[in-house]
Amino acid sequence: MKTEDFITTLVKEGARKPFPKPSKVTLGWLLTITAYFWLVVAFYGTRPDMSVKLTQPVYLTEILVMTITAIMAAWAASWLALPDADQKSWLRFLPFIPLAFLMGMLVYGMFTNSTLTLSECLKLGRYDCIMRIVLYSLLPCGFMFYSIQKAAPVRCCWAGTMAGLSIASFGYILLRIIGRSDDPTQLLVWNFLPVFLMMAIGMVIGQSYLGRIWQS
Amino acid sequence: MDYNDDRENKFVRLMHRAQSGDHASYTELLRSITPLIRGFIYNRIGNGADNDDILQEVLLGVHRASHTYNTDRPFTNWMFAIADHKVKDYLRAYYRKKALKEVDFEKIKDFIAAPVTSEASPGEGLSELLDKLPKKQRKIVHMMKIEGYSAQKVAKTMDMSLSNVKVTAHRAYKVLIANGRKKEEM
Repeated sequence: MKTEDFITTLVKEGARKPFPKPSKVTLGWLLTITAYFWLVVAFYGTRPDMSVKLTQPVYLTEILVMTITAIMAAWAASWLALPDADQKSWLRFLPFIPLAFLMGMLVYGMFTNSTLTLSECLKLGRYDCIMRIVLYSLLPCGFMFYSIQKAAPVRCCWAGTMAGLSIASFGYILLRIIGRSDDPTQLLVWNFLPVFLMMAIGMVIGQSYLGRIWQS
Repeated sequence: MDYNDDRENKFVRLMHRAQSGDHASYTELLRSITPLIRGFIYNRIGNGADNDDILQEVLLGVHRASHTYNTDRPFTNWMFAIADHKVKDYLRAYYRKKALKEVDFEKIKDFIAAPVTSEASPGEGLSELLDKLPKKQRKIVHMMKIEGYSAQKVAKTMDMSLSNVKVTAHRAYKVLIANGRKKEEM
């Protein structure tokens, strides 16, 4: 087909109405995830010692850092849903700053404040924590991936990774609000590392699902 | 304000109108960006036989992603990001195909030496060529050329856009012709 005829065919279909700006998309995601978050908390209830935990600066810092990670990752994912995301390519590295900070906190706690050794912690086999993070994430994850796929991401793996990180960070916060374990080694192995697992899952889904708009 | 600023403003204005449903602006926009994309493709891969196909792929990409352009960002950056993605896609497919061609002759000598006892009929030859097409392309060619459906009907049946059906059919014909020629030469 000649290019001129091809243009005529495209024009008949017309240009599509603009997609919301990344800031609006992020806000929409965050509101939806927060609503879902409160529903889960209302369903399972908070940990029994919640009032005590809310007075502990380390606990509050941990929650705050993970919230920042979740927001930054959602913001990066909303930009990565656009083809010209390279204009703000630095955004995708931002969430790793609070994430590294939290990892540092947990590793420091593991060496100074933990009652469990690494091998003891591994023997605990708290696979339920991984399952809970994945299960808490399923619904918001589906929603987020669906809306990214509605846009036109070029860096599909990165978009998927950021979506996975954002959701997993919320999952981590939920676990900390609902679950009772506070040992830094246990938190690192059974709560924090699954966040990386979710990122990897997000990357794989991103690669296979998010680039569909470009396929002929 | 220099030429590039003027051009950028013009594209932003046209895209804004096109997104509001103005078909004339959309035509003007697509026609205006065509030489830029052609130049971009030429710079990246030289003067190849597939340049027009890639150009149409980029235009289709721009069309499909038209909803992701917001007028507060530079239009040309957005457009070239799509063009870059499409050219990379093409290059990936090209090198994959090239890698397939570089077959170790020793490994397939038994296959080549296998006896051919019967000559296939032209019908068999055609179905053999059709079988080599990807599923979607095969279905479109079958519906349009064997069952006699119009492109519009095929688009409706397969839940695809008309332009997409036409492009896919065009690609399929090219592959069929190329494979047919190869078969004749053998």
